Amino acid sequence: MKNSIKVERAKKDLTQAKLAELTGVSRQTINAIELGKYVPSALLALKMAQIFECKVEEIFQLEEGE
Amino acid sequence: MNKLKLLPRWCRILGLVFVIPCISLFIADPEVVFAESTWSLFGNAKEGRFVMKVFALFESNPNEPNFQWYSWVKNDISNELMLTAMLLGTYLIAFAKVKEEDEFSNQLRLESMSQALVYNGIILLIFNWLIFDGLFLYVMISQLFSFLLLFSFIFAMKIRNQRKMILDEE
Repeated sequence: MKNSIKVERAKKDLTQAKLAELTGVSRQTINAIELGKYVPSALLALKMAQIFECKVEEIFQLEEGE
Repeated sequence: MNKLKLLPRWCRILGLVFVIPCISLFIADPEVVFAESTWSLFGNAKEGRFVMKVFALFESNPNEPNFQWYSWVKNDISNELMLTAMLLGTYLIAFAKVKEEDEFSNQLRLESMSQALVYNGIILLIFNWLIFDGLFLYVMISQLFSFLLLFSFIFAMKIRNQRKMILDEE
């Protein structure tokens, strides 16, 4: 699953640490999600969508074959 | 979000306080696991320091004619004390919270657990074909804790790698 968290963060001028603070997780978690090493829970994905003021599917997209 | 009930962070330190002396004693003299009253570490005392009368569920083999439930037996409880310290210690280390506990650390914990299970099985299989007879008893005894120790080590490495990755980016 690919994601556009980095782009969305840039749009909102948010650092990884700030996003981590807003979503209530660690910076390691945000970093792992951005790198595609960890797929977040639905709850965390929804929290991110709320912060970025967009739909979840705009942040997370399925890759071919998934 | 965090469904797994974990122990406070300081439990890890307490666990190490239990585990390190036990492992050191075992390395210094592996016979300590059999609680021979003559630990080479503490001289050749005929009677161990921890020999006392203790309650036993049963003493002899159930097939023997003199078998009886519940009795009081004289026993060196040093190995029971060590086993208790080792079990408590490994559980305290394995299930203590990390600095930043969240869903990702839970995921890492589960991954570490499954990896530890596989590695532990592989180690047991290898030792099964390399160590024989009475000596295999040491392998069996170490298997009581090896899973939790392996799990704690793998999990600590994964957490460390994640922190390092963040520092490298900075």
